[in-house]
Amino acid sequence: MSKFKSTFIVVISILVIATLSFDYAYSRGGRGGGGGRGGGGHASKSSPARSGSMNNNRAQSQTSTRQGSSNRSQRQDNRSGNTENRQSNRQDNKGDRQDNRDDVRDDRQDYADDARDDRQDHYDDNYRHGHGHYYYDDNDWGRAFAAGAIIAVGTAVAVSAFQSTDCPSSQTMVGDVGYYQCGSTWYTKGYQSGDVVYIAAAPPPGY
Amino acid sequence: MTSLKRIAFIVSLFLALGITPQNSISQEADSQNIDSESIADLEQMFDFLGESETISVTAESNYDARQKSGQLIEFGAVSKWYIKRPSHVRVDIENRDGTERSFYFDGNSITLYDKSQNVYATVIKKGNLDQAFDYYMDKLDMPMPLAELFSEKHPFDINKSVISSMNVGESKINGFACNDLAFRTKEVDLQVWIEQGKRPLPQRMIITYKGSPGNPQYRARFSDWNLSPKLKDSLFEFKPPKDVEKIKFSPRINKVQSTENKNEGGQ
Repeated sequence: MSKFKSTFIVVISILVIATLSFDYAYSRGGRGGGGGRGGGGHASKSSPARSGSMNNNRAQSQTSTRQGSSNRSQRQDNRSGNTENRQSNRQDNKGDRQDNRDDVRDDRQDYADDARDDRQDHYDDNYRHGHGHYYYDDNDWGRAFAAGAIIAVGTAVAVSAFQSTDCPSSQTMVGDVGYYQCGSTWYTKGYQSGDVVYIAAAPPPGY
Repeated sequence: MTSLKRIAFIVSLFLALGITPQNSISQEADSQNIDSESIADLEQMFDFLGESETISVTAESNYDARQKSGQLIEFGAVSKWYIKRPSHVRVDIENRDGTERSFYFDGNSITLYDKSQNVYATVIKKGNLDQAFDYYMDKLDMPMPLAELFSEKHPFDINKSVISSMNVGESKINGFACNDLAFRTKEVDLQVWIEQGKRPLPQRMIITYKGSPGNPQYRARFSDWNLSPKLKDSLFEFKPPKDVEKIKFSPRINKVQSTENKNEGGQ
């Protein structure tokens, strides 16, 4: 029976250790960049499910840790899937209702969109993969940023994170664009992937 | 104790503690299960919504966001949709955290007003509903859950993409007798409860992103479907409140060239 006892003890010890280490990992992960209750919104909202889309590409574009592998071929599958049968059927009816001027404008717009698409694909294929994502969500912010740090143009910073620093909240209007200066970096405000963020920008003319 | 007995004991101990070897549940067994009637029902629902000239509906929705820890956290919102084809839509969104947003499209420009942050962005976009939705989601890189339901085109090529479909059975949602239908594509699972009878409207739907870690879901429950609401044109016009700050749409990948932003039409 001593064999039985020792086996039992070993199994129980393994279980206890496993449970403890799980709890540890869990609590570490759950807090993210830290900050406790005060700031609020420290849970990441980034999720493919945020898109509510039945279309995988749209879903993937709502995750902050995009992989380079969400690539062009996927997007093209998607695009060809979109220009699909039903469109052409119903387009006839709708088309009749629209006047010629609209049609001409549509065509011009489509052309511009397509041209832009192609440029974008070129950009994606050639540059995007190497750059990773310029995006600090709330969880990354505490570690990644301090006032005065060197921030690459295009980097987005969550509003709550920006406001938790000493950076001034007053804006400088240049034309109709509002700029915010924090250290030596200038920011503009914008919508990005569903959130309002500060985006590091080149200094406005004259500054 | 023989070694066989010992192994049996350890196994039973693990079972008693609810520990099972991971990945024991096979995700396979999909096979080619296509119920063509369910497919037809789904197409009919999309067509019915896509052809309805005016719509108003309230959607209570939520989605899972997987944290670094692996835990799924749910966020939710109530959104009110007002649609007047071919080119007017307004969506009022109230998130559970109290933040409020409104989306406007009037055939000429798209505006997103964030009441809580007191900011708005406007971008010129002429066209119909579908063109506005596509532009907003694909070029401006903004999420717009449920927009695909109101599109004239299907969100995916149903006949090509659906690898499995079935009628789960009759089901009552919000007091409406519904067909509970389940579909799978390569990337998502879809379960949708479609009202029986003359109005094939979704009363509830769930999208599961099975390709993503944790299999997060988007869920929506609909109420107050109205296919003949009286919608004034002024409902679709955004009038900026005093002291509101004008910002830009700044997609992460510069999907919109800088010239586009210069065309922003202020009000």
